[in-house]
Amino acid sequence: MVKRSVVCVCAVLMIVLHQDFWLRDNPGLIAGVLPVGLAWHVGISLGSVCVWYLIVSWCWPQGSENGIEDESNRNRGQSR
Amino acid sequence: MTQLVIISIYLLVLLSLGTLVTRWQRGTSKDYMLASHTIGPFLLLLSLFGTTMTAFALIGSTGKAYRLGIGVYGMMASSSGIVHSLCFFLFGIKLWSLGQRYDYRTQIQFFRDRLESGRIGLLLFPILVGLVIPYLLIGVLGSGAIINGVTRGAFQSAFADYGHGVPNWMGSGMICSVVLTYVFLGGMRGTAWANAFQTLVFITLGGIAFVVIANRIGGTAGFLENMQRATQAVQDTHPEKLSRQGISQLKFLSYLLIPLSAGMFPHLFQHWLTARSARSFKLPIVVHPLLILLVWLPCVLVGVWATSATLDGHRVIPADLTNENTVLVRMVTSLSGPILAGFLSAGILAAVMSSLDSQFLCLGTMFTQDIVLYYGGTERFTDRQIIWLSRSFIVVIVLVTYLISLMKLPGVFDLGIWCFSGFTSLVPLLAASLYWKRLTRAGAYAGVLTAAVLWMFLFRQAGYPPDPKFAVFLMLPVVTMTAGSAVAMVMVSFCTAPPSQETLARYFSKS
Repeated sequence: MVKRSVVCVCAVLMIVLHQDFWLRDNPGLIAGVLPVGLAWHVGISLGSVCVWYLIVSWCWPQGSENGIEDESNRNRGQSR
Repeated sequence: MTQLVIISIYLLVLLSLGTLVTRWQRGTSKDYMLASHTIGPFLLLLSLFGTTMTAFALIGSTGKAYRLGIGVYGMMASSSGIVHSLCFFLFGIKLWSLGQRYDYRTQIQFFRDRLESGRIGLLLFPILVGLVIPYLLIGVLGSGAIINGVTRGAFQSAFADYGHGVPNWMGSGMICSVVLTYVFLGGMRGTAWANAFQTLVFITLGGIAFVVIANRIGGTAGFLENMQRATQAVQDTHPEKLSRQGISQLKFLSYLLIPLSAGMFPHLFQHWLTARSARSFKLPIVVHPLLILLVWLPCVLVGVWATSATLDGHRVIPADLTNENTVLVRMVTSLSGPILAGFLSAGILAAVMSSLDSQFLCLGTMFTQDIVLYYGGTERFTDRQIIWLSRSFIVVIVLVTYLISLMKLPGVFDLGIWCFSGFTSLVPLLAASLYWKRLTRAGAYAGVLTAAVLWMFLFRQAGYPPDPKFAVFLMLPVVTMTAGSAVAMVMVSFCTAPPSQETLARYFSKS
């Protein structure tokens, strides 16, 4: 439960951080190459990788592999 | 001419790969449409990524960065990294599981079954096909423009109307023929392998292009110093491109909804069903944002640098450029030699084709499954005949798309965002079908019809070609469409009788 809560907070945080209105008018550069606003969003992309790693590790849907066990229902999708 | 030779060799390699893959085919319609659910994590990652990265992503991202600056990355790339993976996680895994259980091959089969309504297919089919076709046209027209752009001057005494390069119609025809051949022969298995190969090609060549362009603009021996010089030139002449000044915050926020369209792409649905297991989704979910970073960051930087880049004292991109979609090709052809330009063009074409193939296959599958087999009856056809039906439809779709592309319709590239908006406005239906037991058939109709009516009304308001600055309440029209569709669906669902217990048991039981 704690893990799920952490993941949910992280996911919401990513969306909030994505809005970065505080950097909107900042034309500064990092290392003379990357504009600050762009560097921030590169960080968002890398952060997404980490958050998604946590999500698939801690919140993987139970029973998701169960697709093929219900043979009797096969082909029903095309019969309607 | 060198560029043309390299592009031709690349297309031949792709054709050989497509032909080679046919050896692994099992000869069943399920193998042709879904690769018999055998695609593992790595191939799934590359094929999903290749399918979502289109001409719009590569050429469009560079062009938009040229016009709007670095804000384009946040608007379309980092948001896609979050939202695409969300779609894979929330919708992909669940649909894969249901697809395995009930043998679905198309979205419409799922919706007909879940909503206990055959007629919902008649409503959804033209909408989905209508939204995919402009998306296809962007790829077909884009590929013709790319080949023409990099071969200009190759034919001294021919094609004067096309700058002595390969005419656009011929370039588009070449690409359609190659894609048609490997999709026709290899079906989904060929498409998945071709997508994976092409994704690796465009990521690798994109990286090389970025280094070459940076070095050429900077003109020194050090790569880092060259990047600093390229960025410094922008800071001196167009500092506004280094921030997000030109994009309003509300519009930026509303762009978060655009990548949600992936959830309703019919071609992505088909790719999800190819997975070997639910676990195969783990790698794509985690790594997809990283691949987006690898492709978009160089494109956005090149687009921003293009605003100020000079070569021998002259601007690389003329100040009076009218078509921003030509920025990437112009930068590549101006700043790299003919050999590298040929390879880089092949890389861009790889990105275009890796989406076209899935879309052609998906439309062929939809016509076969949702129209012919649904209304004609599955028992009337052998499995072999079903494969040939799909192939016939794919040929017809490629031909029709190509013929439409010859009509030179204005503003096709501006339709991209409207296609994505249309798909996004149907996502509430998908989410409710998977996660909300109270969704009713009438609610689904209300949601889809509201989305369609709002789309048509707002599209008309935006004019044609659509005004890219058109906004509703300072936000993209997609917000109004999606909210309207969701509200109509929920309200009507609450006012009508819930679905049968049998249906609820089929879709919401734990097993």
